[in-house]
Amino acid sequence: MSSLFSAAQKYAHWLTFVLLEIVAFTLIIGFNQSKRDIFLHSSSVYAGSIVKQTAQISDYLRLKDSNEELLSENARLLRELISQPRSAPTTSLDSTEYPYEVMPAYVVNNGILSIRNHFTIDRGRRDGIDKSMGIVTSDGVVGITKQSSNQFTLALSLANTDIRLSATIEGQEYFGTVSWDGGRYDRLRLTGIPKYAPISRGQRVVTNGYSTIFPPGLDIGVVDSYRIDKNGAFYEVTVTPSADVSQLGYVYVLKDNFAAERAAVETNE
Amino acid sequence: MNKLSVGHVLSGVFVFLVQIILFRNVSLEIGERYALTVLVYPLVILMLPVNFSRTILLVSAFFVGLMMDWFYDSVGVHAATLVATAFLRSFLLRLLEPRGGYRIDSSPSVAQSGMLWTLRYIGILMFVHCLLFFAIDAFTLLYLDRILVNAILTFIVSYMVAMLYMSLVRY
Repeated sequence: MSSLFSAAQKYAHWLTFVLLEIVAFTLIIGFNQSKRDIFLHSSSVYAGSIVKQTAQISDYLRLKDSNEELLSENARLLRELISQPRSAPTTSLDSTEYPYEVMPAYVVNNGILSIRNHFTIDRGRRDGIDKSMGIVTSDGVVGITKQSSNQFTLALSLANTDIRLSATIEGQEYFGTVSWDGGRYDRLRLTGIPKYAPISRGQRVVTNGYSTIFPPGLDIGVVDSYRIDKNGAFYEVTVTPSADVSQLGYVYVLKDNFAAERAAVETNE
Repeated sequence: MNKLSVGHVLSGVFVFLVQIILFRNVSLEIGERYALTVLVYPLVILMLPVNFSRTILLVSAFFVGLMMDWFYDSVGVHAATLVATAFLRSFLLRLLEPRGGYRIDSSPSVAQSGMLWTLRYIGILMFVHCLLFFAIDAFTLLYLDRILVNAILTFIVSYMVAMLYMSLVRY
């Protein structure tokens, strides 16, 4: 009996090791996707507020850059406003008239180490933010919201091998899918553009508005290079992203006011 | 199992906080493809006394890792890695055992075990930790170059920070 006990004691740490690794890997693989999402990540209240506090240190260092960014964005908007034809009468400025609501947010936690990178913004359900909303900066698309707590939201970064964006080359009807292959941060991949589409280096790759996540025409990047894929029917396009996801400060969350209405129509078909 | 001194507990809490508050915000992009960070939190486990219960060590590693996952938004990755590192620690301690054996209350630190011993001990475990971390995170060998380069870059910086701390602690 005592030898049995000492044997158990001798191998207890082996058993503990195996058990703990099973638990950890179950979490990683996402034994149950919804359970995995419930796992307390930094968008939960406590970790979120600590993360927000510590992010403020680096905020001061970026303040000047942020200001310049906002200033140039204001200038661009002003320029567009001036060049608009005056005749268009504004019927109403009621927010429900606009298909998209734009909400500013601040990135409090941003990862670039992984192949599945996320970032956290300081807005959550109480601000009306939910999953599957687009996130942009003045440069272009940077991510999609994944899950919200009351005050924070976790978002998929463009540098995440799970992200898929429906995209088109500006001015063309053809559409494809933008994804990231886990390689360079400044390269995205656009697939599904048929090989008879006119394509050239430097063309803008934009969202096509086929989903309610992004309105059409938002910058994703520009065509860097392209070649025919293995099957010979489609282009495999390399895209340089417009926005730098490793340097995120202020971002805008896009909330589609008609998302529910559109989803209802599309599912009743 | 010998008792933990107040020094061990305070030191562990300190390293934990430094990781979350300071180094969590440090991730440098190297070129357009690779990135490095500083991982010092394995020290929380590596600094514990040589004769510390192996089972309790593993359980502690799991919870420290889980706390890291909470802040890094990486479900289970830090936990799986730190448990593996803690498990390997007991084998390495046996390998590196000095001729006369460890003192009953011995703790890994430069002050107690000497510079050369600590350099090897921290070096091996820290490297294993960094490599496992990026491998488990990617969860596929498709990104082998990324795993290796990120692990080596992260290891170099983390090793220097960890050795600096290990040569400063006194208990």
